Amino acid sequence: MTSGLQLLRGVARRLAGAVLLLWAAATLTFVGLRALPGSVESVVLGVHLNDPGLAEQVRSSLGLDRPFLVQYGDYLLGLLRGDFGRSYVLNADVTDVVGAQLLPTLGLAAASVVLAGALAWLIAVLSAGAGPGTERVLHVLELLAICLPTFWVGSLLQLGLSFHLQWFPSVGADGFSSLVLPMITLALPIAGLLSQYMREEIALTLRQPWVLTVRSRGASGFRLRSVHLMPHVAISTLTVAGNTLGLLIGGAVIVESVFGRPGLGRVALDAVTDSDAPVTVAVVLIITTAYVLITTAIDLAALIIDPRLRQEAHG
Amino acid sequence: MNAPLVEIHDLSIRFGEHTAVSNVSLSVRAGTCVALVGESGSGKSTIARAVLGLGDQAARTSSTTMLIDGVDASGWTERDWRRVRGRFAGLVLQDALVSLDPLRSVRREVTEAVRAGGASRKEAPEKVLGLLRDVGFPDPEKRSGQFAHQLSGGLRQRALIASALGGSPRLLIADEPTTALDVSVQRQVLDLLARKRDEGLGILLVSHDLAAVADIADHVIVLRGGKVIEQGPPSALLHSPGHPYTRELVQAIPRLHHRPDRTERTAESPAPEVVLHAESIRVQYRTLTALDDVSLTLKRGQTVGVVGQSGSGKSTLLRVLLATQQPQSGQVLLDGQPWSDLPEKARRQRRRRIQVVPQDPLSSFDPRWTVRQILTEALPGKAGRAECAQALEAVAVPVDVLQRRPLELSGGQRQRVAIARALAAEPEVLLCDEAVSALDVLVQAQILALLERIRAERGISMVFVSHDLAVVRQVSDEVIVLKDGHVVESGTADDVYERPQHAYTKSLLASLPPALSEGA
Repeated sequence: MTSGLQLLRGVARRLAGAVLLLWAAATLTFVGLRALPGSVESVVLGVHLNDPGLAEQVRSSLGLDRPFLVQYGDYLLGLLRGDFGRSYVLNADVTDVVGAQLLPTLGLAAASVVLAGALAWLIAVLSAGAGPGTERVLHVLELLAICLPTFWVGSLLQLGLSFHLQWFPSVGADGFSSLVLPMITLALPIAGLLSQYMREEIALTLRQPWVLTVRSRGASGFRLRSVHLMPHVAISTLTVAGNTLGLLIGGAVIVESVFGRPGLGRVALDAVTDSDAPVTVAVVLIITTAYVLITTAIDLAALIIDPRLRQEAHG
Repeated sequence: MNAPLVEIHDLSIRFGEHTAVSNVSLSVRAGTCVALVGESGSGKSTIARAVLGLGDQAARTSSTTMLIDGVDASGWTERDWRRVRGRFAGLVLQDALVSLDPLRSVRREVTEAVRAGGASRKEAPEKVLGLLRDVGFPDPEKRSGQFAHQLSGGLRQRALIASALGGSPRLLIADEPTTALDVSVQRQVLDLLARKRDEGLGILLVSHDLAAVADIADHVIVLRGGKVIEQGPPSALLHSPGHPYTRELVQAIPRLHHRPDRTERTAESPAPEVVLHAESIRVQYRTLTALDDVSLTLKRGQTVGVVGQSGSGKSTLLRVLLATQQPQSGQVLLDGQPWSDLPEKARRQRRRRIQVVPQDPLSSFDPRWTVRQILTEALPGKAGRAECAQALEAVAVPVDVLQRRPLELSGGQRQRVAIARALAAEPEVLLCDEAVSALDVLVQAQILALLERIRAERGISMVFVSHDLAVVRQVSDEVIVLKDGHVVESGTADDVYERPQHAYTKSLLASLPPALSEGA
């Protein structure tokens, strides 16, 4: 009972923090974009900037002639209603622009993370304690997976599996088969990072005295690794995995370009290059929200897995 | 009588070039307890694990006979070994806090053992409760959902024993099963093992503590460096040890009613001055009272022993004396002047007068520093090699150790270096925090002798904190018994030990192994 209450209180505190974080992100983006060189009119009007009267018209239609604080308040109120305004460049509602691109990116990111996690777990479990030779080879492979530039790996996969063998389409976002190559490209560096980390965690955990106890009960090696080891390794690995979100976003921008996929990555890239403030704000807020949701979920998962953490939350 | 559960002849275990065990023979019968006794590195745990086929992968094992339950096990594969683990023999390790999976409740851990022993999903829950009840785990219906970290040391050790018994084994291998426990709890766990033995279980007990195993074991094998030094019934080993090493072991056991040669202390100055005085100390952590109205007076050249079990407030008291923690009320005086009430800045000059000897020196040294660097920092002024060598000499450590780092030292050497570091500041007071608790009994005796010599030669005063009653008895002039932050009894060592007044002190003394109470 009490531990459930504690959990609720933890979540509430977490959500309050999330609101604060989102507000800070919104404010920083707002101020930052206003401080950037190149006025909003110039972005909207482009070559027509010098036409007399037009600039005035744009300013008043966007409400830029009002005091700064009023604009800021309006902007926040808009965000609260889910209204991100209109794109300066695309002449469309930001919600529509971003909404259409959100799903493909989410799908790509989720698929990549799942693939990376599964790959890392498989490699780590099979190779933990396999001897120094195997470990050294794997270590080099993992370093390669982390270090090789994403656009290069992507192009290589296109060349081999798409142009040459014609297994998968090289571009587009049409069904699962077009997801495979981007997913692999994005998953490789994350898998390399996670499997390195997991293997070390597994080796460390295997040295714990309770492992001897489990083995002394006659439990099989499979049971030891899947039932006992898994949660131990999951707790610390999840935290690391949560921190690869940045890697994921950076990777998504590149992967979506290489494979010609629609998605948030490309929208973000375009919006920043074109100084399209409303779209940039929306993307930043989406990424922040994702970050908050993921870290909260991971912390909750850790609380559920590890009773010792629940105890600490009590005291 | 029935055939032995385990019969091993000429067991040898090698790790590469290093021989960990050589030509050890043993057999354990149902309803008997065989104990392997030796210091760390004697090979006792290696042997115990070999009986379950749980040795290190790198180990090479050979023997002329290896009968497990009457079957030749010499060629067994992992698969064969798994069949006897749990069902034929269970294993109990030192501390259940780390020997039970910390992410799983007691119920799930014991259930796993019961299921691995062949119980069906349906009959398992009832069997788990029965086992827990049998080992004295209170209210198992409600409390078995708890995790190891939520239980006291004694309770989780009982849970661990229940899980080892889950597969209804006929043999129990217990590797230092009571070492991490307080003395009265240790007693209870040993009694539990003795009861299981009387019910017909065979027990292979591994321990560094000859005194603790003496009253449960039927047969004791003394090991050193992987070889059998001597063996026989415990009473014979304790009273007439044949081998010089066994004799040394027996003599090193700290005794309650026998004190080693003590240098005359109080005679030289009839009324020694008070060096350190703590007055009605009270420390409160939120709702928990860690110390309540605790007073302590330390006179020059004397030792005050502080006895208490874990959670009694010993460590808090030490921190207050060291003035690294402020008491809520009461104060500490050093040389009759304010100490705990001063701001840290004013204290800093006099900090050198109180030094600490920690339980685990390894973690109190910077692992990258050599012994010479450690001592140079502690010595006053610009100390050269000569001064460092002198400091080592005072604690009987060879000078060539100066260039080594803490990890390259033996446990005893480390503790000596820690003492040398404390002495380097030329303190008036040494606070010894479980200073010998982590050491093997022989090394422990040497370090105690060293501390005694230092006290006599330099007139240093000591506060000696320990959970080990016999050790405290050996070194102390006065003794304070702490329980839950209260002083339940205090007085001269003779009074407290020979004529204990408080029921708690009496129960502590009664729970000591009988071997300690006997004269030497």
